[in-house]
Amino acid sequence: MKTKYIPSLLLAVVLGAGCTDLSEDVYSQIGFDQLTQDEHLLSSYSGKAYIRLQEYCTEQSLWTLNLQAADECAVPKNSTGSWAEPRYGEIQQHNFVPSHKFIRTGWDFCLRGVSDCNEVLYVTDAAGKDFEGKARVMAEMHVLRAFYYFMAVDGWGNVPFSIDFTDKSLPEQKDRAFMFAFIEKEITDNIDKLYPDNTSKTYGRMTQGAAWTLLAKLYLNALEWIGTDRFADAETACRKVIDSGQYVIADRYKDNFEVGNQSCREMVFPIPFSTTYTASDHNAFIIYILTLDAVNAEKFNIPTEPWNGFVCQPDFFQLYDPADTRCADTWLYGQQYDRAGAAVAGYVIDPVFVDNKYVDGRAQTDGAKLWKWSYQDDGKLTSDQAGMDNHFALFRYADVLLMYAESLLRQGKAVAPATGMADFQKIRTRAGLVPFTDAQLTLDALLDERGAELAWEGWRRQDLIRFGKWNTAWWAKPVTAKDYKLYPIPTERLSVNPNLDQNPDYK
Amino acid sequence: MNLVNLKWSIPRRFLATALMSVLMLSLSAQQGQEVTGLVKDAASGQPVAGVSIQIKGTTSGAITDGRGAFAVRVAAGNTLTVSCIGYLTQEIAVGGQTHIVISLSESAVNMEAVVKIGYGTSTKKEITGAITTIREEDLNRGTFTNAAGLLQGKVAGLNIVNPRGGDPNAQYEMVLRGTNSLTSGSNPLVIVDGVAGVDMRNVNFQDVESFDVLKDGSAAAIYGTRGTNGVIIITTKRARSGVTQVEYDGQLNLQAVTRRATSMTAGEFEYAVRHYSPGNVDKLYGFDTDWFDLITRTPVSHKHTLTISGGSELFSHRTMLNIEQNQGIQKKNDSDKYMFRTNIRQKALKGWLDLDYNAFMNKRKYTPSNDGAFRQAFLRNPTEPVYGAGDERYGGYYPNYAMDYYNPVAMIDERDALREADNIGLSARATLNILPIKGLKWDNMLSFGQESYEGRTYYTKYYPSMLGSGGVASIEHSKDSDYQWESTLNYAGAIGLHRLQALLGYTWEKAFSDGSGMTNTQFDSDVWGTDNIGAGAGWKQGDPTAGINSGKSSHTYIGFFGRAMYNYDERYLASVSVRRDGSSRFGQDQKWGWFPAVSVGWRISREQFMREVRWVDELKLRAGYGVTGNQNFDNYMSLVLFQSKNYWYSDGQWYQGYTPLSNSNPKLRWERKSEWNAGVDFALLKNRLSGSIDYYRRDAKDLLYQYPVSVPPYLVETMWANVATIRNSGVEVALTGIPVQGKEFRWSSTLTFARNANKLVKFANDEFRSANAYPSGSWLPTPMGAYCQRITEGESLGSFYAPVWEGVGADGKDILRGAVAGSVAESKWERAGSAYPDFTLGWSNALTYKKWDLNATMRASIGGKVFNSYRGNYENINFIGQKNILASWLDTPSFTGNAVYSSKYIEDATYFKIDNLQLGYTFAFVPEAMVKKLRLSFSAQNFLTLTGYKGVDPEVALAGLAPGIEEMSYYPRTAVFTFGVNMTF
Repeated sequence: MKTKYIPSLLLAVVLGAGCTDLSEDVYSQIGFDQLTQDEHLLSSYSGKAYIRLQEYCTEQSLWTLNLQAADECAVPKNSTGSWAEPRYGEIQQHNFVPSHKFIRTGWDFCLRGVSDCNEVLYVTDAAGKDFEGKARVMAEMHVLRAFYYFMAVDGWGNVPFSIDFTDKSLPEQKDRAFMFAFIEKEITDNIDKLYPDNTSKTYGRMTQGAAWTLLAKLYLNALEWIGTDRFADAETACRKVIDSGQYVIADRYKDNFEVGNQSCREMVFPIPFSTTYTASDHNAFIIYILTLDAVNAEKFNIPTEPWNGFVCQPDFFQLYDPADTRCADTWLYGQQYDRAGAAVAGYVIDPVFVDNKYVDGRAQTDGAKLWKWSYQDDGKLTSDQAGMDNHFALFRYADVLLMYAESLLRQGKAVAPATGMADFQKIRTRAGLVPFTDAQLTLDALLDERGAELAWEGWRRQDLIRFGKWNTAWWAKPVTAKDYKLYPIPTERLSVNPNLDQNPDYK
Repeated sequence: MNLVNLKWSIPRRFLATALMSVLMLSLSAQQGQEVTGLVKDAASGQPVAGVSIQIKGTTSGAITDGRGAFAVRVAAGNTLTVSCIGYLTQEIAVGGQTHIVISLSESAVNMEAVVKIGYGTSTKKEITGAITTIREEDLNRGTFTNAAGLLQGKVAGLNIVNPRGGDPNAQYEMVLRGTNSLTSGSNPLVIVDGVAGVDMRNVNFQDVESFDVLKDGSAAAIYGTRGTNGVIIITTKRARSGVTQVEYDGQLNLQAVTRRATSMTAGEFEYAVRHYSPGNVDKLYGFDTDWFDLITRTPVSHKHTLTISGGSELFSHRTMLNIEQNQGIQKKNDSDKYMFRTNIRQKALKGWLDLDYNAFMNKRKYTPSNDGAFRQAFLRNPTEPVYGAGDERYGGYYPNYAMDYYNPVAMIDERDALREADNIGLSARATLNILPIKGLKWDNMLSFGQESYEGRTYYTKYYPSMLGSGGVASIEHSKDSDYQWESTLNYAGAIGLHRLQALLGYTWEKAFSDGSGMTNTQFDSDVWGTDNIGAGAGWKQGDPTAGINSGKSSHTYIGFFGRAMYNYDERYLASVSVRRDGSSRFGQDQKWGWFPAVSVGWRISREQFMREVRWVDELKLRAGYGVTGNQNFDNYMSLVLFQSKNYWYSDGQWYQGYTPLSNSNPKLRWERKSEWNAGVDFALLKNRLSGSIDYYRRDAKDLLYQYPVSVPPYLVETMWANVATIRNSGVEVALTGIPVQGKEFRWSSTLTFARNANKLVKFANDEFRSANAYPSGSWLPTPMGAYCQRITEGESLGSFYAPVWEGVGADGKDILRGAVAGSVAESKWERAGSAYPDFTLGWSNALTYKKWDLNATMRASIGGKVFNSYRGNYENINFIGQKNILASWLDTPSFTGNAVYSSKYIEDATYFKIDNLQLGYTFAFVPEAMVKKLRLSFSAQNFLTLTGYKGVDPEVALAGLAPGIEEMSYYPRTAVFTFGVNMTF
């Protein structure tokens, strides 16, 4: 019967026509093969590890965590009831809870950065394709990974160690000594392949200057972190930056914080931001939104409602020498004025307010607001486009010079090589202060100087720990029973890796 | 239902005609007088075609023609047996009459009724799976945004919710037998006239002839990876031969708001501020503005449908034209539809070939509602004026702006949004009847469907949340197209008492989706809207909200399937099916899966020993097991793909960055659900009472969820993995009865009951765990600031957890059990019930009295919890001032504490609704008149809700992982009153 052939005929039609094909067609993304065969894409792809840096100083970031844990920032509930969540007060009072959101976001910033670098290193290598500057790109990834690990070790000490992207096993936990050696070796092995100069071409990249600064920071903290004195190496690393001749102290303090300040040669390792290109919630430069309120918004022609949250911590505000122009260059306080220059009635900001504000809430006039990074009033901002064109300096030449002086002091050496340096004294003179004499340049003076110079730039916590001032009382913060020099490993991250052990203060 | 049921889909009309000629031949040999007659439907008075008129005790008889007429030759004293599917069989003694008029009454159950089972048909008596068939006459009446509304409350176990109330663009949410997945969609697979995956909005709801809902695994397994959520087979009205029939249907409806979130009036507001919040007297602006009133209207909608059908046995068609214009209660919120659908049936090659063509072309033009405006109207200070002097940038609106505080009138007036969706669908089915082998046919169907969408939105420079943007214009286009080919070989035959139906098939589907969009800002003038998008300066100036984009994706499904259904004497029934399904969406080695099913049935009523049990007409036991899958996931989830995302600065300029957005998992595979179903079908007391009871247990395994992983080595902190298991088990009961069956008055009633218990059996394995799993959708923003639900092994999904509220203390604050300094540690929160109801009820009634008919559907949901978002956020005096609060706070002014999340706001969701009522009157005319029929009707929908729930509507979305949470951006509930006219020519 002919009918019995029909099923097989049907089957033949079906199979013969290739109708079992289930391959996926990809249109709007790039497959692994396409990426690795395209030289242009491949070189652009390494940028993802730099893009991660853009998350550093958003609202709930590692920067926020370090800022709030140090003595320079306060975020009590404001007069409209916003910022009522206890999370800012908890960090301020060194009540570090493993489930705290910022502790998680801070950790994630560092370890995602590590993972990004791992991925770029693997993909770039696996591609097997040569492109211009490949060796340098690989070296940048190694040192950038060292930076992310440096930040992780700074915050958490004991971190998961994973440097091979293809190895998906759960990483082992390594202590500071191991990580210190790893970071040091990664930098020294790769530093020669990095860009040696500081030009518009290398702006924002991991250059030799940035790598030496990172190394200097590593060595400077060695005694605190691993109990080994490496101040001489810190001095050497700082000298490398100084002697490169690539960096200068800008004429004005504000030059470091202007909108679009690519030309500022004080920047050593900036995170470039852009109104146009870094405009989403998690990568825009929106520090002004955190601190300003509606009255300030009018003054600075900002067409959106700022969040009126972050203010200067009163004790920190009082560190400034009355003559220090950086105070007025950094903070808005006292009588406030509208855009036309007229005084706003009743709006006199009190920078030194009482310390019960985490409970009672902060009046609109309580606390100095930040305007260190110049506000962009060129009309490019709109109500739903909040990111500004300022760049955030992770490393700045002024920081290098202050570290240089510190490395000399800590070795017991004469500080004349620092005080005799015109650029070093310019840090003081451009702030309207008299130059440091050798005798005045003590560790305490240096800590205050670093505070005023680097306010809200993210290094205060590290400084307070290194200078032995971490577990002292300050505004709204008592002396704590334990030191809490390390943050707890975030609950969510601890739970996915049984190899991780919680830090000692939190057991 | 008017046709003789002849099996296996051989065109019935054709065979009926053939059979009739045979009968006529045999009649001519008979003795006796010729009797002519007319058969009419007792309820409608319409003629009934295809009725069998048999002379009792003989094989002689006749079948009624298209006008319900018949002629037989009988001897006086003979009895005629008059039978037809869907009607009670009658016996009529022939005296001396030569003309008899017979009125047929519908029966409550019809065991011969055709049931669509997927790639074929069967009959109610023969099916062994849990399949519910609802025909046109039993559907809800009134007006609906799409056909899903017709089924609400009609099918036990199929929960249909319209979470969007009176929005004319609302879509229904459907959940069958509980939530069976953690992440994928819950909507059943919809098949319209054989084409899978059709958007229900493309069906004019008045065009639906029947729904067949394939509920259990054994029934749905033939649809393999798309069967888990059940299958709804929609059959639209088909072409019929006969004289040309023209039908017009018109509807006019009005809506009125029944339930909404009500904030204080200006008077209440001022009273509350002065008495309870005197610090805010500066926020009393002295005006009296009813913001809700200002953004709403009384909507009037109308709908017109013209249907033309007719033709010969060899070529017939049915063509439908529909125009409707619908208004929502929010100003500008409109929905216009234009639909065209035709079905053409043709026979060729001397009975070898049957052709069936379908085409539709629809246009939907609509303006979506601006839900945020309802919330802002709620929040807006009622003492504030709409307009007021301010600087130019506020455009004349009262210049009071703050974060999340926008003028709702400006939100409506300063936005123009127009959407246009054009759908076309073409399908052709060719059935080759291999005549030498009776019952064998080869069926091929090709279909093409496409939706072209255009969305245009313009926000003027005065749109509240976009001040400073200088106007924002956006235009979006998308095109979704879908190609299907289905080829099946069907055999049906009988040897003696053995009957076999066998199926072998192949199906292939490929779908493409692509879209593009553009947005620009900073326009010199608002005059162009979106019509001159290049004129904006924003894009050129690098405004990141301005830009262009496009994207495209595709996927392929392939299935091979087979089924054999066997029965002996229509007494012992068995069915076996298997499907081999493949999808491009899964990992390289995981693309294919097997989906088997088996089911058996025993019709006890056919046994000898039941013959004497007169009161039992039908009794059947059924049991089945089937495996289905779920592939409602995104494309490309198993691949490593680099997306362009963000920019980085290098060499003095910004470059595009590329990164994978997720961890790829090449091991991704099907979610598999296996289901047991046992049921009983019965009909008692001469079919006056019939029903079904089903028990099921479904275990959905390998469910996908995003689990946390370590970074490094992974790139992002979560990864999709197949880990979890969910069990749903339950009971469904459907009872249909005819309590009253009189000559002029008839009442038929259907009651459905469904109870489902959901349990998350497994959520972790050695590799993937989640310490604290909160469904992301259960996050309640400030001031609640909590996840209200948890995902916990061993418990139902949708489980609320909260501090236990014990009342309001003398200090005006909430008393929470175990509170320390006003707050309760999260570990001490208690389970506060589940969002899922304990059981649901549906009660449908059809009453006819002479030419009047009344249809009423009531629904009830018992148990279940709902989080009252408006109370949680706004029944609090501390928020009064700039913003308004719930008027109901005035009922409990002793509460002055802060808004703290607790069980206080988790309320009982029990409700009883009368949401569908229609009264109709039918005028019958003599057959010679131009107008054959005229029916007038009045419907009322959603007009009564009895509930203790204090929020907008206790009937909230129950699909997904965070069910039972009232939306803050909601659409008010409305009652709909519809006047309808239906005329047949």
